[in-house]
Amino acid sequence: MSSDKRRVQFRASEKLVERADALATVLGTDRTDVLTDALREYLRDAAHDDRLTQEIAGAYYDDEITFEQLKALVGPEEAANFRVLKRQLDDSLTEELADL
Amino acid sequence: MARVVADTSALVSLGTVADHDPSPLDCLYREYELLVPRAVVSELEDVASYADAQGQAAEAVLDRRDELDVRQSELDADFPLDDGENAAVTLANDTDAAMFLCDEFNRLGLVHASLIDTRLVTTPKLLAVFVRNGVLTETDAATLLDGMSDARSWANNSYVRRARETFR
Repeated sequence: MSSDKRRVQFRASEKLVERADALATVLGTDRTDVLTDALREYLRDAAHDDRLTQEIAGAYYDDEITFEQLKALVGPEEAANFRVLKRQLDDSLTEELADL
Repeated sequence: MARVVADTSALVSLGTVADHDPSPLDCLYREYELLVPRAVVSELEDVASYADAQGQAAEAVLDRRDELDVRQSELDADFPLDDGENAAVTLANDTDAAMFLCDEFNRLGLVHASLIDTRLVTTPKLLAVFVRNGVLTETDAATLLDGMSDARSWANNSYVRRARETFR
């Protein structure tokens, strides 16, 4: 994983930012740390949330995300399963199997 | 006639709709030379001891045990798979089977990597092949896949949903 940091901008409600800042004060850290910790935790949990994992797989089957993006989101083993299932959706495989 | 090896998971899936006319098990036995390792029969017996839909499905497969070509198969310690899958993959490789039927969606990457020349096929795909070859109508395939999905709790599986969309 690259340690390069990228600056990003996003909008959030006033209340959400205030709560993040309050927690940063309590923890003796800053807003960026609170937000990146929260995001990291959310993405980690997403990989174990079956409903979300199926959404991710669906996006991969529909070519909305690449295999590399899939692997980054769900891990290499699960990604390998979804790659096999994507191949199962291929019409050319049906043709090939039908001729056996 | 192409040789097919089936894992427990695929036989249970097909068994959940064994009462449908036409039965997908009939189609499987008629169209292919079906081999299963002894370990898969043992797993089916375990599943059949439960009184749920999958137990009844395993029972439906075992009711026709005489039609199964059961082979002894060694386990390959190099495969990180459970005994039934391991024995079935080994049998597929040893007999140079054309297809390996498996519905363990959470382990397909490992199963795929363990097969040498045999093509991995899920039961939704098998239904598509039956439709392509005129063995089943699209309507039959759709009904069968809906029945299997209910019994297997596949309703939220993105792969199964897309496979289902291919049957009008």
